[in-house]
Amino acid sequence: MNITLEDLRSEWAGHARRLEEQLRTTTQIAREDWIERQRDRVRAAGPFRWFEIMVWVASIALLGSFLAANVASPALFVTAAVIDVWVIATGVTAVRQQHAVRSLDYGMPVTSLQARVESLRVSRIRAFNVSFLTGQIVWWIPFFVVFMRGVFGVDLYANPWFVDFALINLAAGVAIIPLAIWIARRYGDRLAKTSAIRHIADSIAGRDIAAAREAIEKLRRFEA
Amino acid sequence: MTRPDEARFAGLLREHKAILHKVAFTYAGNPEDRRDLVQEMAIQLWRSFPRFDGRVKFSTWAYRVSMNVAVSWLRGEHRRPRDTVPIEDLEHEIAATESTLGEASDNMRVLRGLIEGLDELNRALILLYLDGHGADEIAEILGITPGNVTTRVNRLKQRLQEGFARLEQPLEKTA
Repeated sequence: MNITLEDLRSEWAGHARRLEEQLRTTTQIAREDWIERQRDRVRAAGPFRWFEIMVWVASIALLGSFLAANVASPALFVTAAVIDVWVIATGVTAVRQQHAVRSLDYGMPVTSLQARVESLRVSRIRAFNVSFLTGQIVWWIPFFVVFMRGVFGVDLYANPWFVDFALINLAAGVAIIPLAIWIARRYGDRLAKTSAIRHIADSIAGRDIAAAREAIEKLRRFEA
Repeated sequence: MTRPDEARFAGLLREHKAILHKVAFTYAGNPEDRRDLVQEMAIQLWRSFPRFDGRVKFSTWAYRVSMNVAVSWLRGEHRRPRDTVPIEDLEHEIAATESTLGEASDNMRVLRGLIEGLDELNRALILLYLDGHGADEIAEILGITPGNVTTRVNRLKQRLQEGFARLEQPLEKTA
């Protein structure tokens, strides 16, 4: 047996011709109703995105009104401002990333588009890591303070024990960041029972970024 | 997309749908995955069609879009749960691909083995080569130089020969 790529190429040509003839007799894909269904599918993704945007805008508005009501209390104002900045920054980042993904031109040459996809992947993972690791700081004590004041009218800063409590929690929140990275790197595989948890562990541990960088490097080698 | 554009797109897609099936055959190992991949490619072609400005041939553009979807799919970026679109549409087309390309002959099975051993970029390269495209057109689709295409095709030829040599060795030993 000694087949060359040319032999396979000429045999492939014959089979490919037969495939084209057979496909010509079927009218399944690209019928009017197929296009209609795809339109519905694209539309179906719309409302949820609108819901996310509405929740985001509502959060900013609520925080804005809290800020306006507490201008005279610097501690409360700064605490709410931290959450507000976090919400705005993560929201803007998410919208920019969605826009970048939607703007991808799949008609670009394969190596160019794939390099763009992988660099977007790196930015997406970085943004996720930052929001995931800093989120646990912002959404614990600051949120608790704003929630207690906004919903129950209780100013936790007025309690003498609270500042110590908040500082300890803040320190713990900051300490959790390197700890989470270490655990994800060391025990990620063992802890990840579901694909979602595995994704989070891979992102935090930097394995996803390493894979994306490797893919970019592979593309460079292919182009060279 | 306006109605006339949709009609034009549907016509072009009908004319070139073999591209989608050949790309899917190259990237997906089983009929279910191939069906999903053909759908993803068709949807991406539809979404991208407003950007198609005719500077390259429609077939060149369709190869680019389909291969970009397939490469992303292979890397896991495009995989979705299989619950999106009714599937009955593609059964006959997938079966046609299987009967013409998949199990047509021993050589085709050998070719399939060779393709499965390649990474996502070399799969694109070998498909374009098998489909009879010249170095210039392959370069235009992949975004590399024609010289690079020639070098890489030669490497694939060598790899194929090495693959056959490995297959023959046990036979020679037993003979």
